[in-house]
Amino acid sequence: MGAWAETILADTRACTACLACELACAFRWSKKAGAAQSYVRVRRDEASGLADIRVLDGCDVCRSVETPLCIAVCAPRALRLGRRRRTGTEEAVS
Amino acid sequence: MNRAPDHGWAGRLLRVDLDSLCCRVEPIDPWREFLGGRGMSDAIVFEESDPRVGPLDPGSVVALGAGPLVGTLAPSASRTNISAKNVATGGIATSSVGGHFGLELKLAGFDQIVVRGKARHPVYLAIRDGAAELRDARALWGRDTWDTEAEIRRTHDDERMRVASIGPAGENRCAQACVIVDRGRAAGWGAGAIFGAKNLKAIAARGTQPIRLADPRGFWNYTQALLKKIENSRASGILRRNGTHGAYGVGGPDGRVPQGVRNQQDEYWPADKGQNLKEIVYRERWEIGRTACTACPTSCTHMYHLPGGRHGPLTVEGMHTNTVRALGSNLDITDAEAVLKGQALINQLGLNVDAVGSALAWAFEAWERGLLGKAESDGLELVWGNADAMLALLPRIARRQGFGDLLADGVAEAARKLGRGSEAFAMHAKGQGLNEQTVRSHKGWALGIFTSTRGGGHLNGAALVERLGMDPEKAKAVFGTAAAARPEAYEGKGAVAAWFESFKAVVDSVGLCYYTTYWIDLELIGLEQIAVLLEKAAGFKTDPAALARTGRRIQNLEKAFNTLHAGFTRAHDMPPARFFETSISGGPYAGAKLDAQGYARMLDDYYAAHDWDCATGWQTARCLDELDLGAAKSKLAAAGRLA
Repeated sequence: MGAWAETILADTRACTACLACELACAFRWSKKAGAAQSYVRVRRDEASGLADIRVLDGCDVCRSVETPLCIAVCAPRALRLGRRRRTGTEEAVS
Repeated sequence: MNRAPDHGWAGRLLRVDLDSLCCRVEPIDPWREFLGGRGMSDAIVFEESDPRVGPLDPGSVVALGAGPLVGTLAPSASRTNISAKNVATGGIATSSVGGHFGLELKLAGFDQIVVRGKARHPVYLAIRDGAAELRDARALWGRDTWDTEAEIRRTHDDERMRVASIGPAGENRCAQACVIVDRGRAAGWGAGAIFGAKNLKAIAARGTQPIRLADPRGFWNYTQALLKKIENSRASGILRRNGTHGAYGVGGPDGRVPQGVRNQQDEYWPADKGQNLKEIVYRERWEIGRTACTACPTSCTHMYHLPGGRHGPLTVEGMHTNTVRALGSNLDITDAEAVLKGQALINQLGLNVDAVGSALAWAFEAWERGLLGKAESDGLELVWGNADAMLALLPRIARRQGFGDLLADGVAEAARKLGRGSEAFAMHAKGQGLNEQTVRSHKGWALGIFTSTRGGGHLNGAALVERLGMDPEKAKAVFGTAAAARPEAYEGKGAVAAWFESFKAVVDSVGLCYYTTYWIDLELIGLEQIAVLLEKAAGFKTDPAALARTGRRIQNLEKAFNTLHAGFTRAHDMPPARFFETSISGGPYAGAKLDAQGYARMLDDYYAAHDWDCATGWQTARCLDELDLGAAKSKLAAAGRLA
């Protein structure tokens, strides 16, 4: 069956591409504001108008705090905590 | 430099000399007292502009910058400001633009860019992580802003590069051409024409250098609290759900908000027309999502996709209340698809929606009055409601083709050239085209529009909260008068307009968006919250009173620039006669119009609130002494324009 790992799940239709999650993730790692240090990457595809959100390997879902920082700042609620099997299948926690 | 690294600010200013194609980096310290963004840009433009040099002359200076909160995760801190000499008015032009350009500029290590001179051939400025270079833009000249942005990203193989570019309108020096950021965000009032005159096609920025925070944990906790405040605000909720279009625009809410109709002859558009352009129509037919500027929880902008039809396929960001009014009610156009197409064209061509809207409305009225015929209009029938004529004219204006050339210089200049009495219905303030709403019904809003230093416009002293409603007690506590809460009242509005002018100067200088502030809800971000953010992000210790004073200093620099460069007096703060002569014909504000005596009283109160002279509208020596603006005082005294 493979092990489950916690991850950040994204709803690209709800995402407004405000990049707050990128800034928050970078803040968590460096205590500075930025984007390059982020494990979340957001871009808007200009042709379709939709957001593309990637969570990079290395994200530890902010293990030390109750709510991952990217989720805490996501005003449109496009991010949520979920879990992922190694096969790549994703499933929300609740 | 031997000093501690900056927090909040990147600490560096980039000077670009297009004559020699040289870039030079300087510290921002001499300008830091003006915070950043608009304040810093204004101070530089004020000090370095010669009244004898026109905005389109090579010697003119244009400054753009992002304030100390931009990129820090403070809610809505995304704004980039551009300041320059105004092409339409001859006074100051300032414009705040959202998107993500400001973020990348800061991450690239710069707070401010100052451009002077004229390149021998088209160039663009590419900035990346502390380095800047001017690159050949001959292959980009003539192309629209969407193509330009995509091509620059391709050239640098970097999809995260943010681009501020001009389209054909800027290249052809249309009077109020814009610089377009992220395809759909406009910095206007002639900045595009100045870029064009300097052969500067675009500025592209990309950075990976993080912004240091003075008190990271305190900053995080405070921004979380502000996010909750914004989330719980009713005014923010309406804006989030409906955008500015649905919240304040044509058709909404309940079709009760007065809008400029047929060149602002009226502000009542009956429901059978307005319902065609309601926000819900666009949402249900074409919306595919929402989009937001950096770190903005409100996301007031909608994304639309037209799959087919006459104007599809088309994916476009939009629309805001001004667009729907300029291309809809003010031209009596009810074709929803055409208005959306017009919005796309305006952004692609780099036009200014207010300027082009007022020029088109003037031309349509001239047609109605028989002052223009087919021989002059390139065969187009400029009858109210003719969407095809509107769409045909937009590219002609941007490219100065045929009849479009007349409109390209803006409504005031077009009316001067055509004559035939058309000056009487050229709707402008200080030479700048007007595209407005609720001018007759909301007195303080009107005052703020016509006293705006940038010409006409509702984004400085016009208090949106006057329209959205406020608690009289809170209004009294903030503005010193409970009358501020009553739209129809003239009393107290002078103080309110003066208060918001200085407040907005601070908002624009730190890099926040007006829509997350007191402007829409007195429970949102005010000077107290900005002071806390500045301390926690930038380590800059200040308080509301000191910030208010900084705001007044910025406002007074702009006012002095206008007096010195354009010779404005009290007469220039008056609305066009139409708003006194014709009243709103229907709806909840039927019968409303401006009263000359009431407006004059407001203006007196407004000058008194600023400690300016009521008779001339000029600044007093006492006011400039109090604000420690000695250079402005000396220049005004030398010009004989100090009261």
